[in-house]
Amino acid sequence: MTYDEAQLEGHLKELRRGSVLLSVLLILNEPGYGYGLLERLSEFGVDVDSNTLYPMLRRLEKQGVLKSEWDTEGTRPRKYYTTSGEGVELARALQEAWREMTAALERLERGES
Amino acid sequence: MSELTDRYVAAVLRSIPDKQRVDIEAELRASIDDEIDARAAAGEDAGRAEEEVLTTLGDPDRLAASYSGRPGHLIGPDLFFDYKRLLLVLLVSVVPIVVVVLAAVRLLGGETFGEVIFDTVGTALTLAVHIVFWTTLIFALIERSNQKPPETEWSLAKLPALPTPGSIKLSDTIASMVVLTLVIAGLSLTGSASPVTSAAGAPVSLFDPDLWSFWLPYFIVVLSIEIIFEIVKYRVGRWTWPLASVNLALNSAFAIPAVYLLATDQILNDEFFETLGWGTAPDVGSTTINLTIAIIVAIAAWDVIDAFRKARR
Repeated sequence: MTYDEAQLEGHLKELRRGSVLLSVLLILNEPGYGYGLLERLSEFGVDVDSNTLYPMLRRLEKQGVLKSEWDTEGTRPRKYYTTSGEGVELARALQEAWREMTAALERLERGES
Repeated sequence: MSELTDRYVAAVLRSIPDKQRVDIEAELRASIDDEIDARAAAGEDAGRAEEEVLTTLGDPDRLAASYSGRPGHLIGPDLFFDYKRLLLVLLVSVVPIVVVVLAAVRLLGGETFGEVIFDTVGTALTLAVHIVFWTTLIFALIERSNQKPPETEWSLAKLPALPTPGSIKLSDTIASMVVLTLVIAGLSLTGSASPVTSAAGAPVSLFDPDLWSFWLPYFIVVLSIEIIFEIVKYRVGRWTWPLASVNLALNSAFAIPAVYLLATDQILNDEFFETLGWGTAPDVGSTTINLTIAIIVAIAAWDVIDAFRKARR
């Protein structure tokens, strides 16, 4: 008996959902804008859809974990986002939890408690 | 920049609040153009690239909802179970009460049984649709307001009791209500409709027409109260001492006057029996009358004793 592709896809989507937020908070310690961010994330191996990322950036800004600034000097105006001080702390807390989960999973795999 | 992108961006902005519109438009356009440029630079045809980019962004309404943080559902999982419970309570309590009261009022008003059934079913359906619509609307609005209602925290206290042998079943309640409604309808109709008609074609009632001055309306009121009692009993869930006492009062309110009227020859209409060619109505002291009295007393007594027995458990 084997899982089917659609099932795997669904589970992976749920696993990634939590990781995208952390990835965004980490990658934005340097300023980044919409599409550029999408490409950089994909270079790091983080797959996220454009229609997920763009609204997410605005939501995170509203929550205060990102801050933004318009740059009107380039070829076209771009909104650059950076992780705020609050965002950095949030990222640290999430990363801590992530490491604990990974450690727990590893222990589970080895059968230790 | 082409017409396709313009149309896409316009479709997204349509449902975005005014004050965010300019900002979101500039950002979304820049993102779309950036991606088209990147694809074109990689050798893709510009027209194809635009189609690809917009298709990946997907349904503009969905994207707009995501931008403005609006839910993509009518009633979410936080509210759904409260919604369902409230809807059920309203449907099983309000609809039967209104239907019964309305049917009783109209029958007393002298309308025929057929008319009343037809109109009452129509009213019940309309009422149910209204209840569902307004409840859903209110919950959908709560879902969309920023002010979520105070968390209706579930606790063990809300756990329904296990169904016990003494508990009251919904099917029994509905059956009782149907029987009571039919009896009320029958009593109401004796004046205006009867299978027996006089030579002049006027309906001849089984019951003495004088009863309409007080006793028939009285019995109809008592039976209507019994219907309400059935609903209350169902909501309580099992026989209790107060319920059994009210049951005693209601049974007495029906049986005592019924027996009194039978024993003093005030119920039956002589004309009914004469028209049928059966002579006069059975006399007081006849087997028919005595048997009827015995049956009424036996049913009432059984009902009262049974209720107290179940309440004691």
